[in-house]
Amino acid sequence: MYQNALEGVRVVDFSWVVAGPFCTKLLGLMGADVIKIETSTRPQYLNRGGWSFGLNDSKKSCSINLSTEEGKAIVKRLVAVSDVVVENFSTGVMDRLGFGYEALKAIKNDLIYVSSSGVGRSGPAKDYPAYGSLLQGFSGWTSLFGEPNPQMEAMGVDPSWTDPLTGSWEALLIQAALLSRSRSGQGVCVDLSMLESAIAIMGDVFLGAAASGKSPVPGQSSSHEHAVPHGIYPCKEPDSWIAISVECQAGWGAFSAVLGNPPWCSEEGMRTPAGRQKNRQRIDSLLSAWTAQFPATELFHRFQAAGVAAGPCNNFQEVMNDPQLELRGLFRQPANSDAAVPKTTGIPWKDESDWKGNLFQAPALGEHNEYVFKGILQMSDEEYERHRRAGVFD
Amino acid sequence: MALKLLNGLKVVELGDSVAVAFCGKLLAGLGADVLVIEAPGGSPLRRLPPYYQDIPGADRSVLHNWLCAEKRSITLDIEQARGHAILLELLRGRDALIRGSGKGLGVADIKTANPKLSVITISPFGSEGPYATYRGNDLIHFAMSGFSYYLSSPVGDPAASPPKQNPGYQVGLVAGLRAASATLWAIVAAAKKGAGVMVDLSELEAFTYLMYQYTAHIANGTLPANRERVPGAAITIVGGLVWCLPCSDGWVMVSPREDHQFRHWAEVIGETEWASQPEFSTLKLREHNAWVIYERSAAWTKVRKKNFVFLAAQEKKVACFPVSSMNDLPELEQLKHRGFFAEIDHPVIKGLRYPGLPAKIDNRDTPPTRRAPLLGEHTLEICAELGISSEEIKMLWQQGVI
Repeated sequence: MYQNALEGVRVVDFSWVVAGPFCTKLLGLMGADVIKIETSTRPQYLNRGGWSFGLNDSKKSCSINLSTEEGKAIVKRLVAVSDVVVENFSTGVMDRLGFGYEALKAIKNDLIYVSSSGVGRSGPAKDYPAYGSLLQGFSGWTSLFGEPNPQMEAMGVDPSWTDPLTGSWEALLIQAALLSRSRSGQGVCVDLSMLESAIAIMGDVFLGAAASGKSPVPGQSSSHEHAVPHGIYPCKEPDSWIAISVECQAGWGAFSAVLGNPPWCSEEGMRTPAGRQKNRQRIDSLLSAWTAQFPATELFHRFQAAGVAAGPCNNFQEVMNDPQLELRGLFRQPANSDAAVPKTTGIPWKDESDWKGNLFQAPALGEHNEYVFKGILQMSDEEYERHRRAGVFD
Repeated sequence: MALKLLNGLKVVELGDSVAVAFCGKLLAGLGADVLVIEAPGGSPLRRLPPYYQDIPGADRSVLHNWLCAEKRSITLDIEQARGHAILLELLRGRDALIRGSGKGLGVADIKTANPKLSVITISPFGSEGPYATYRGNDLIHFAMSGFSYYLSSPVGDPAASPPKQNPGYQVGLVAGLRAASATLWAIVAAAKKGAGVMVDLSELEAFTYLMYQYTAHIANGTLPANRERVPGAAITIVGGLVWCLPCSDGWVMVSPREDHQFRHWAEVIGETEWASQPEFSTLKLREHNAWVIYERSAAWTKVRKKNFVFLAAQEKKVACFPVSSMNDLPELEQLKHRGFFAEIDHPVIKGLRYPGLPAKIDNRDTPPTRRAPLLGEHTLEICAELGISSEEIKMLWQQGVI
């Protein structure tokens, strides 16, 4: 199957929480053999609740107690027959385990070793503990949405942004490293920073502030100064809203027609883009009064049918029910699951077939111990039992 | 060893969206040869703000210089027959074409020109389906993905606090990042298939993919019914308790979530007796008493500077960072040390520092970034690569093909 492009690539996955797992899920969906290194001796690995089912699908799990020498030796045997190592521990943890880049490179010369961390593995803050949530503040992301306040009301701290973005960068860099290795035969060491991952996706806003000396207004779009109206307007049902953006002269005529050509749309001051820029506030207030009479979904289709960019401010139930995303098959059940297993996500693109990734259900802790130890590492039954009884696979 | 990971990869970029340009930018930044096809008047990206010194004009778009750095550009009128033919010639020997929707190139033409070429088509909603002809932009996708709604959450009065608008082109940038991944996937898949792979990427889908927490909320039955704040409730983000604390010159966010971290935080702010008080002894109890913790923490932080609080907490291994504004970022010591921001030499735009790739690769310093091409800068060079004679180049120029 050509779609499983990463088939034959084995990933030893030490990562946990969100950023790393988000990355290795993508690699798994592309066909890589992702093996999570977990243990029952640390409670966070036992927790299969929360979002784990949707971030750890399409991977395998083995359990190894890394506080045992045998456990560490087994990991090294696995690395020797693998292609990629992914980790997102605090700085120094992998070195203490004997799994630093140089140590593992000595075992597997062309290894691709990817470390993701809060602020990177070099620099004055490299040892600082960090969480994605705090980096949303540190990176400037929250400053684009709201003022800091004690209750973090409407401050832009949620949804999680830094973590899934970091995972997305990480997948890209691993793909690039694999291509590079296929040409050069050489391994690659990647030191990925979550802080930088977030800022790199705000490059336009950062450069806007740096070039103009003006800070962006929180919660306001600064990228479409030319579009009027351009904003979010209330609809009929409680807390329902629609985004509307009119970008050009022809768009204004279409927009006005959807509203039934009210007299204010053809006033002198509304005829040119420059005039409408001046009247932005007045347009917003007239438009809000009008949109408030209709359901968001109705307005969405009425505007779009007329060629005006519009879209409802969906909650996530509405997102999952969206017919376009439904058709694209983003939310789907893993192939090997029964009907009770909830929907997770496939690969976020399509090709000519309807393939949406090599999606299978998230593994139970240690579900693939035999596959990894007896299969990949070819342990005899006797050796496997000996380690199991000694607690090496806890 | 190749200097950059994607040296040797050859890509053509045809399209005017931020997503297409950012996809090409990432591939170029990683070492691919990315060729941008622009209409004779130049890509609309050249006219997009922000502008250098906030003044519009030729070669003053900072956004363009960032998005098109490291690329080569040819101006080509693909509406004319010869221009169209040159475009097809440019596709030969290339690995991938990144394009926006509605760009005049049929799949049959592409397959004839280069059957091994993979094509990544990026459109607002995807090229098929009920919204295939709908118009989208960052504002619209931000709203439809759920981001707008939840970013303005929780709030005391939802009616008075509309969902948030996105600040810039974050949807396009995320879609471009995703498309770069899709491109590399397609190139490997095409080698297995023995023929080019056609990728259809929807900006809405690519962006919605970030919302993993909410897929889980639906599955677990924990999706909040609305945006309204539960009075007195603590804030947990991605499973951990977080406080936002005032300082004398700004704010910090701090997350002493585990028992030992909480003990250390208590030491930082001089509340050493907290550790032994039963009302703070477990995570659940601390969540319940989050406002007491807030008040006592804030009493200590509000008379101190944010950098002092940040360093004092980190010295005790408590996760704590200042809340930054855009203008704070160039001053962060950590980013300076990593060389994350770097100038790009440019004839007009001077003294501006641009964000780079978010990773150090093989612990190397990043080589200087080549600025975005001036309009038509590589037209002659690329024509020469195609073997077009100087006589024909003159003719094509006069006819407005190039």
